[in-house]
Amino acid sequence: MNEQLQPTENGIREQLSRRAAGRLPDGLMADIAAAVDRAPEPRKALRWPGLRLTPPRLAGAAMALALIAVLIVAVALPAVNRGPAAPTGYPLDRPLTATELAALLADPALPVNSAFVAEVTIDVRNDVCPMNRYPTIGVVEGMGAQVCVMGATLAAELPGPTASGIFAFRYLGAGYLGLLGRITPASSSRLTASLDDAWPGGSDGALVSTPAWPGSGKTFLVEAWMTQLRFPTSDAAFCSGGTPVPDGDPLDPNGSDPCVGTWLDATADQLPTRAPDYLDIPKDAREVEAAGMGNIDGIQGGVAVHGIFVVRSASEQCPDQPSTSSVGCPAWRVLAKLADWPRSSPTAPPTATAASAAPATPVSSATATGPLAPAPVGIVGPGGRALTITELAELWTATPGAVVGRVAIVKGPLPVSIGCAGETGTPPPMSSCAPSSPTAGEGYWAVKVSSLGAIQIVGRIASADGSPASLDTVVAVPHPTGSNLVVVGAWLDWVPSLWCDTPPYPSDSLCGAGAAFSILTKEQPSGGPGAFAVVDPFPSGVVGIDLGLGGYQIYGSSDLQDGPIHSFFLLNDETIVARLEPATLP
Amino acid sequence: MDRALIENACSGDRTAFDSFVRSRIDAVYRTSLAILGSEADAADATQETFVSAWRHIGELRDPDNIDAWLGRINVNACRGQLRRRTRTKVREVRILDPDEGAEPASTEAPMADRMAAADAFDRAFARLSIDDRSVLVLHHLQERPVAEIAAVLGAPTGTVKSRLHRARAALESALAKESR
Repeated sequence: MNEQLQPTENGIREQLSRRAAGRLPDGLMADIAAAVDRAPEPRKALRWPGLRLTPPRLAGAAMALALIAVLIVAVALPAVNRGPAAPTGYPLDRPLTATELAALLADPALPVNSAFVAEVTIDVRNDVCPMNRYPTIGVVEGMGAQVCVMGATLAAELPGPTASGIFAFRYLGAGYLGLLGRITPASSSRLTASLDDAWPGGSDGALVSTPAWPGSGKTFLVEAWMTQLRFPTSDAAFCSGGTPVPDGDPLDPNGSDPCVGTWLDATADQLPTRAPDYLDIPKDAREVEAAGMGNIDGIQGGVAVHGIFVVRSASEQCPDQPSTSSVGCPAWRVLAKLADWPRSSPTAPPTATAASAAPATPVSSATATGPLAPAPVGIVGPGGRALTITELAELWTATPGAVVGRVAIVKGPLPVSIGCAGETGTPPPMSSCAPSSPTAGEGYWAVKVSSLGAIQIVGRIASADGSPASLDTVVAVPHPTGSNLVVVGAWLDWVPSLWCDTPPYPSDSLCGAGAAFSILTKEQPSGGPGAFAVVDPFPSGVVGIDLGLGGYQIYGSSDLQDGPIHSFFLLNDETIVARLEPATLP
Repeated sequence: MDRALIENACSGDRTAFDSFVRSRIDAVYRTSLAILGSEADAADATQETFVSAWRHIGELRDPDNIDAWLGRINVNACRGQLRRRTRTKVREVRILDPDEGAEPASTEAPMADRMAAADAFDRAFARLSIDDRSVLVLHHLQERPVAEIAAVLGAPTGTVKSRLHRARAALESALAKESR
């Protein structure tokens, strides 16, 4: 079959041949060789691990027993190709040192709820750091400034007077860390487990005796792809007739939700992305409980997300066992997704002496190949309008996972915090939370709310009435509003880069190389996905902004494959600060 | 280039990769030069192409497709180069009214000489999108069949045909503007 199009016009070929003529530049081959010398080693894409089999938890104990025989057969099968390798460790498969942790905490841009792992010593004491939301566990030694460690349910894990080890934390706010758990390394030589490892405390697929199961309560790290499906409550088949449960606390998120299914796998292309495929879970994927964590860490449903996850082993009542039974089913509860490292280039504060800590290992080498942090997701009111502070408090109360640490657009005056009544040392009932007295600022503001209710001002929004601005405002010079921080409603069009364009990519780990472009335009682009993003220069009459980053850095998914999408964005001058999602008010 | 050498390169053998670079550098550079029109940019794009290829060669699943794979990296490198070169703040561009201060177009005058024709072509080509330039170079300069172009661009053959049609129309239109 001759697929050649019409005969080549001689004129075009002649001109292109002329453009392409000439000698190779002197030294180009040597330059390439030198550049390749400096480049990281080639990524290895293929792995050949053994098969495993994990029955879905909801399948029940009977199915688990039945599948044990299959497991025995499966592990005896030849190895199979599992696709692209997970490329990163944490960082470089080690925890942060105390010095690095101090530097990280000194970064004013560190998002609340960021999760990370550090090897530190905790001075265990409960007479410092009063807080009405969490009990105090202790203070991290060697930080320069006081850094308190708070806990939800884990105080008993650290007997004191000091506890040294590798711990997973969430950042709660300036001077406060929340303890997720003490990390059990995957092995004597590796911190992070893979899907193929026997997970610490693992009792995979077998029934366990509760509460004596020794594996229960182990906290460890797993590097994997997470896929989460959220079924509508109207879906009786997959929502099990239940209703969604609250996210729970960031330090102790709810795991099981009848309307959420979550799996971890070694690859991104095997897990189900549609509800009907729920029954066809790949046998080498592990079902985990991550309903609350998914919301808290912004895991997008139906899209494989690569990362390192903090997982805790647990023992729960089996679906078909009475509540009084001593037989339980093992479960894996995901507590957090670790922040990409390095998320920035924190500078160690002068006060971070960390005398007892080992010298910080340079981590700059990880920057060149490190993952890309997606633009943050923020919230705005319905239709793109600013939220009232009362609405923000209601959202913070009802769905803290969707609010805490994210940029929110609100109408002033601003309170300094959203306070909660309650006994010191105990989490208060969320219904008792309300804004404190207003102290600052008429107008419109971009703010962040911590899990403790503290309000941090990001900046004043250029807006006369709290509604989104036109893109004309942003591209106009000088800015007529006198402020660079603006909320706009615009169309985003983008072109994925070479390694980002295969669903369910893009992913942080695969989009770092190659070019990816996106633009915001005032009018809806025509001509299909990427039609404008690759046009250079832009068509006449187009009002747009070249963002200089990929759509995956804004959406972190392949949602835009179907074409340009309209959304709200918080821009600082012409740099995107956050994609804003209209909030669903309680 | 024999398959064994390519397979060795794919497995991270640096010597084999250097041989691979030597065998493809001319084609990559000329493709870059045709697309970008600048020797410096073409050299940069060529270097970026091979560095990127080295980093990702372990992900190449079928060595038989290495040329399409490399071509795709090359086009992306050119895209990145052009984007870096021209990335400026985008402002609204008013459509110029031909009657507003422009010289009357002469549609009858033939090309005075080859220099003028080349200059007009280059200016017209610079008006095209990177995708339009790429598809024209792949088809008209390299004379690759549509199926190969589809492999390079990662697009269905039908899409390539429509892109090629669109690119040629865009070039004709740009040439018409340049000749005014």
